Amino acid sequence: MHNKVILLVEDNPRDEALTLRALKKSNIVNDVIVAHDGVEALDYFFREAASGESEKVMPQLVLLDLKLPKLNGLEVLRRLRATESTRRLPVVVFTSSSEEEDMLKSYELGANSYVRKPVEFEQFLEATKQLGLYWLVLNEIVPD
Amino acid sequence: MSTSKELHFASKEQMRPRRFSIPVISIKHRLPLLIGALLLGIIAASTWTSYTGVKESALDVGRERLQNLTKQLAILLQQSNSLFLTKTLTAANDPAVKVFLQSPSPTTRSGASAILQQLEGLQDQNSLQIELWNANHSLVLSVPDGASPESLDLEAEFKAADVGPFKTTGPMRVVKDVITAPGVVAVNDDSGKPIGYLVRWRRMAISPPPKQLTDLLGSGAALYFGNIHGDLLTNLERITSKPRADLGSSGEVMQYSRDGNRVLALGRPINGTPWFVAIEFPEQPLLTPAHRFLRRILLADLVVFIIGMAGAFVLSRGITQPLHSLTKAAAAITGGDYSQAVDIQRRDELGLLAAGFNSMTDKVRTSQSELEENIQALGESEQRLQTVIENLSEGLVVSDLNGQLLSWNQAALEIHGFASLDECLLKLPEFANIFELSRLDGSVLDLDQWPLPRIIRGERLRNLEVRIRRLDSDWNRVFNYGGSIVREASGRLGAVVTMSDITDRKRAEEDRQASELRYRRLFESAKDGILILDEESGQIVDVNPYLIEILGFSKEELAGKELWEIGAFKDIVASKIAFDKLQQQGYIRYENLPLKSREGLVRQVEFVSNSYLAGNRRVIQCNIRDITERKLAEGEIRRLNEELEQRVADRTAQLQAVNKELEAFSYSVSHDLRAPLRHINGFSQALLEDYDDKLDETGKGYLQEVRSASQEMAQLIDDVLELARVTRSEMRQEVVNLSEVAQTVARELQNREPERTATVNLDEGLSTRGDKRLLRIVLTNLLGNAWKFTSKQNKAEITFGSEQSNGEIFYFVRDNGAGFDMTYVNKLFGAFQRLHTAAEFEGTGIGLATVQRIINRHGGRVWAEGTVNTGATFYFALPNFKEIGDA
Repeated sequence: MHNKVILLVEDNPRDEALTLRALKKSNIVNDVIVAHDGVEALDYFFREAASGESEKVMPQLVLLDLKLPKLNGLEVLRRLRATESTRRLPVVVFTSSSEEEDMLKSYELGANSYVRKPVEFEQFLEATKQLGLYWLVLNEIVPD
Repeated sequence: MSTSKELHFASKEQMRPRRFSIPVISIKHRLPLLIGALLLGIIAASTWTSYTGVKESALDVGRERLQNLTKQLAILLQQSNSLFLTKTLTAANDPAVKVFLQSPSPTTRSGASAILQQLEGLQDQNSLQIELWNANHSLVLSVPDGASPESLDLEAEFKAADVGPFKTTGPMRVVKDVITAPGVVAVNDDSGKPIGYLVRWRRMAISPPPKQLTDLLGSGAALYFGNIHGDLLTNLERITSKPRADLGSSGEVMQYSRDGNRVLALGRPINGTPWFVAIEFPEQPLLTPAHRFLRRILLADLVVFIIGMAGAFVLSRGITQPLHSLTKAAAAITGGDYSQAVDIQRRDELGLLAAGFNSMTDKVRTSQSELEENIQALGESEQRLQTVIENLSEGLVVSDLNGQLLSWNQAALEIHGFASLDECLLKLPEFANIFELSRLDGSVLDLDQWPLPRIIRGERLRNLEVRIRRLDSDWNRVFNYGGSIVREASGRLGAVVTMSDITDRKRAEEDRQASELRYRRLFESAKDGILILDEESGQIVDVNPYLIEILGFSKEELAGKELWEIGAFKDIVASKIAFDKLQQQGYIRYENLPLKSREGLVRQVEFVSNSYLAGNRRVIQCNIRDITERKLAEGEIRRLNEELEQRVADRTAQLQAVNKELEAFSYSVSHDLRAPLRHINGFSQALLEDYDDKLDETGKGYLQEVRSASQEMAQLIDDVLELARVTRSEMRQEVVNLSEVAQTVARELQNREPERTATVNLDEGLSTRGDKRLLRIVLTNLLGNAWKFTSKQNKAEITFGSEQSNGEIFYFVRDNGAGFDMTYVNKLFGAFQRLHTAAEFEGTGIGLATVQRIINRHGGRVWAEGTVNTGATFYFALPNFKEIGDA
């Protein structure tokens, strides 16, 4: 039995810090793994496990930012959705972009949800909390 | 105009008005009446005259008798009296008497008494008493004796007897119921001195009167015997009253009535006495013969009268009967029956009259039927004339010579605009209040220069063109007048005016002239060549100056030539064929034709040929345009166009590149700008929360400011992004239900602040064409503003609706909030412009700029009205995109 893991794909360290804090404040105790760019994100799923590393765990939820260096969020999403094993992963696009285009594309590519990061921290906190609650508690996922 | 008159005989009574209502007696009655009256008059006159004559003569007889009788009686009485007196005188002169008187003694007394008795004894029955009076007028002796002396008044008699003849008779008097009269004789002594008087009383009444007297008088007569002075009157027997006051001794025969009977009377004095005698004869007996005569004559009169009347009636009948027949015949003629002839076969005046009447009747009958025929014919021709006049297309008006209009035909009424004859049967001057007439050059005509007065003055008018207009309206026509004086069949003179409305013709003429002028000008001044050919022959009819210049030939050289004779068009391949084609089609066009001028200069021309009917001939008009320059210009344009297109393409590419950059920019802004903001906000919050105990209020305050600032900036970024997006984005045209959008927006607003109660009125069914997304942004901004600025109102009211004015539909959002000062209305829609501080109302000042940008992109317009603290209304109008289809 392993803890439910949240994969946070976020390039900005500040955002990362804030999100983690928010998650903590929301009493979400899951482990949060952070990928700092698109490649790292994909590596998490598709890299051969190096020796000595523990077995990689399918996250309960992927919080995916769009603006990422190397490979951007949409690419990652596409790749995830293209692969059988990660096709059904709950992916929440969690971005500060308010471009409609981004939203469209995200859904097209199969994102489960699209949430804009609010500027105001309270809202940010609230949003995070709700996300967490929903996706981690309420939402059913395909079991491993 | 005039109707045929009925012929009729007007009867005299109808013609003359009655003034008195005396019933008319017919001749039939009048003649006999007249004759009767005449007869009656004559009879009456003669009867009366003769009767009166007879009466008079009878009366005269009576009168004469009276005269004789009275005379006789008077004489008689007189003689009697005289005798009486004489006797007395004798006695008076007796010495015995005298002696007694002189020396009265019983002796002498007896002596005197004896004398007296002797006198008395004379058997004079009439003697009553004899008295002897002395000179002192006192009674001394009387016989019969013993008679008491009475105071009898004999003074007058004594006095009378004092003088010669010493005897007198006194008037009658009543003494002791006896009518008596005294005879008084004076007794004189020897010397003649009166010493006494002898009075002898005599009875004056005789009863009964002596037969002779009554016989003499006759029956019915009356005798009167009395004093002349009238104090006593008898009828010989007793006292009577006077039958008539003035019955006296006039000596004239009197006529009067007594007790209802007429009498003749005569009074005659008796000489020597104070008495008179009168006799009355009743007239009646006298007149008896006269009456008898009257009766006889009256009878005769009656007979004569009857005969006369009968004769008169017969005569009158003889006259009136034929007259009656004549009258009947005349009446029949009056009634139209000319067949009656009067049948009077006489040879006198009436017969002649009848004969004359009959022949007159015949005459009349013949003329009457002739007349009727004529009238018929006249009526028919009148009818025809009327029909003609009424149906004339020209107006025809008749007036008398005083300018009083008598008739208008239908056409006249119509062209003057009168609805009925009542309006226009006026006198001429009255028309000056309705119309103004002027010459065609515009100079106004005085009333005496109008057509009708001129005609009345004797002019004949023909084709007089006059402008006529109504004074009270815009009605304005041109009429063509004609007319003259005419004489009617009745001999009356009148004026006839004809008029026709030539306004349209004139206008057409003017138009044609104007058009002709325009055409001519065009022709002459055109900067294209115009060639006119006759269609049949193909010969040149007219050339305009421009073409002359181009070709280099003169007009004379060109006229009459056929088109292809001119070298200019030689290059037209088989221009004859072209010409034929033109004749068939009526139209030919060469876009680019070489034209060689006389000098040999070649031009490029555009040649268009049309054939049409001008009047009654077909002509061909060729328009030749020198397009040499145009061609060059075209080439240039093409070149420029290509250049331009290239430039446009370049520019477009540039713009597209720019657009792309902008898009990228927005994208990065939307993402990159927000991130730091989020961080600022997040970390300051983290600070606030996690190091709460290590911060004082000021510190906390600072951090709050930091947070607020970052939030504001976030909002700003959103708004700016939206504005940019709005500018960039493609517009989709679709039907947008504004009401629905407004409802959604309003709901969101309410949801965001559920505690607020505001009245939001949204009109239903408002829809328009436009970009739904963009229009939603508009409503979000406008309703959001309204929501925001009414936040301080107790009863906030927001209305979204539409209005129409000048055919434009516009929409508005109205609120009763803080409003704004109209002075700054121009700043309202500027980006980042605010009219309120952040302390009053938060906001970025971009919302309205965005609204304006969107509406402008739709091709519409926005504007606003507001009053501080009362409210504001924001309007926007969208153009009608109906003509443009979906984008």
